[in-house]
Amino acid sequence: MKILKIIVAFSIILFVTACSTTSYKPLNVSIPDIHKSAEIDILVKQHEINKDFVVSTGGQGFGLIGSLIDSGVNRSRAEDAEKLVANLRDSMIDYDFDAEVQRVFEKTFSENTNKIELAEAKVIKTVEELQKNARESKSALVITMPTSYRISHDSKSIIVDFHANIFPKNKEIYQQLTNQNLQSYDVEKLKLKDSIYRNVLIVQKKLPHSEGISEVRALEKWAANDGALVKEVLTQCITEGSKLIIDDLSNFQEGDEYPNTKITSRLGTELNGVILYEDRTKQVIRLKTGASYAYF
Amino acid sequence: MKIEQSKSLGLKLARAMLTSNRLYLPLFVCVLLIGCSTSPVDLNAGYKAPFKYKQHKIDNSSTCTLGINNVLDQRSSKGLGHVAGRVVSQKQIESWVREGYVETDNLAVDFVGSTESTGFLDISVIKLYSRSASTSISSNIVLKVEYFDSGGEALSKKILRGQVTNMNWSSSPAEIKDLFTEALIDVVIQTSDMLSPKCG
Repeated sequence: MKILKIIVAFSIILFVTACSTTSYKPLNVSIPDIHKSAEIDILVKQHEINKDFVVSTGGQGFGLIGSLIDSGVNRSRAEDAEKLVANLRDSMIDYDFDAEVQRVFEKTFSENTNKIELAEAKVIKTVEELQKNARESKSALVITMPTSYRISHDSKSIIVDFHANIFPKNKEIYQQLTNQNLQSYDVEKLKLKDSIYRNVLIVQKKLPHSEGISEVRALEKWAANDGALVKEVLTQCITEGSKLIIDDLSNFQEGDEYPNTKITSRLGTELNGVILYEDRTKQVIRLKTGASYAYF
Repeated sequence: MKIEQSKSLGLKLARAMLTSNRLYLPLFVCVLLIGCSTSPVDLNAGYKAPFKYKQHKIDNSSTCTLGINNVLDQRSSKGLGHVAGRVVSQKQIESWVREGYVETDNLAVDFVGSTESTGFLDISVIKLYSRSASTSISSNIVLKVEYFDSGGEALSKKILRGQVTNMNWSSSPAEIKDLFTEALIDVVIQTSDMLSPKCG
């Protein structure tokens, strides 16, 4: 009976770990010319820009009552965030983020990398569609990239996240690239452990001259002239993100994965990582987790 | 201090799981499985106004009647978004919006299905989606509403947004559908408020 309980307890741990992934796996394999063709499937689930809010966790440790209080506070904060961002959303009602991210990635990848050859970039709205595309892809490599864009909780920054993964199209290509024999491999399942490259890349751009202004005023500035500024900054962030991915694919060196020195970001926060690039206007950091972070 | 409390809570939980003979383990496993669930939500078509809106009373002195002419689905993406990782979808959006206008009572403007009235509306659905964040769930609907007189002359055009945020109790289809309905009613009320001074 006790053994049964232990098995069940371990099963629970397995269920929990099945929902989690590690964030970084460098591309440290050489790709021969015959397997360089790649398709990028960009998964953009959202329909409009979202706004962050500070999630309340003050009730943790106070049981059910604490959880209920946190839930209530978070619902209220989510409602405020939705109301605050409504005018910004209205100002960019004709803006098509999906088309823009597709255009920029096609342009940047075709111009800037010889590590892979981009056959096509597509924007996809659901995981099921992503799996179907991976199954039907004609390219040797499938790059999946869940992407999100949002305005920060203080409304003074635009943030775009890219979760990039590279999967070989089939078992034979996987084995040729990695020299590893797999019992089974199915690209459609998009198992993160089967990716030959994985990273999270975060790009953040601050509203110019935003020191000391209120959140409402900051949102007005983003939204002015039919959202001209927010649209421009989103394009800059997408361009910067696509270049970060290309750098990450091209310039990996052994030992770079998990830098563990204390640095100060442009936001003034202390982080564990390494500064990859810095000038007057821009800072690029690789965090301890391997994730790349650009702030400009 | 907080970390120590969490560790102690974790140990107590693990001990309870290993020593109890009752239903705690299966229940806990079920909760975990539900947490990982990503099955899609397919909302059935058909509008049903929540009871609280049927109780909504207004001063009817300025009531006029407007017909709903065309309702077009002009969304670039046809999905209805994601709630707690589950894809939400619904067909027949046009009839759902039309019914929402016609079925919502007690407004300053009485929206009807026919165009034999003092004027009529053409409606385009621009955005319609739900999303969850933390423990909340939101839905947004954006409509382009064009108002014509009975002779077909365009009198005004406006983009309106209906928006509702609630606690996400279960991510159930009924909960998601109610939220969409409330967002639609929000925009129907806005349409009524906008047009009642013009068509009275």
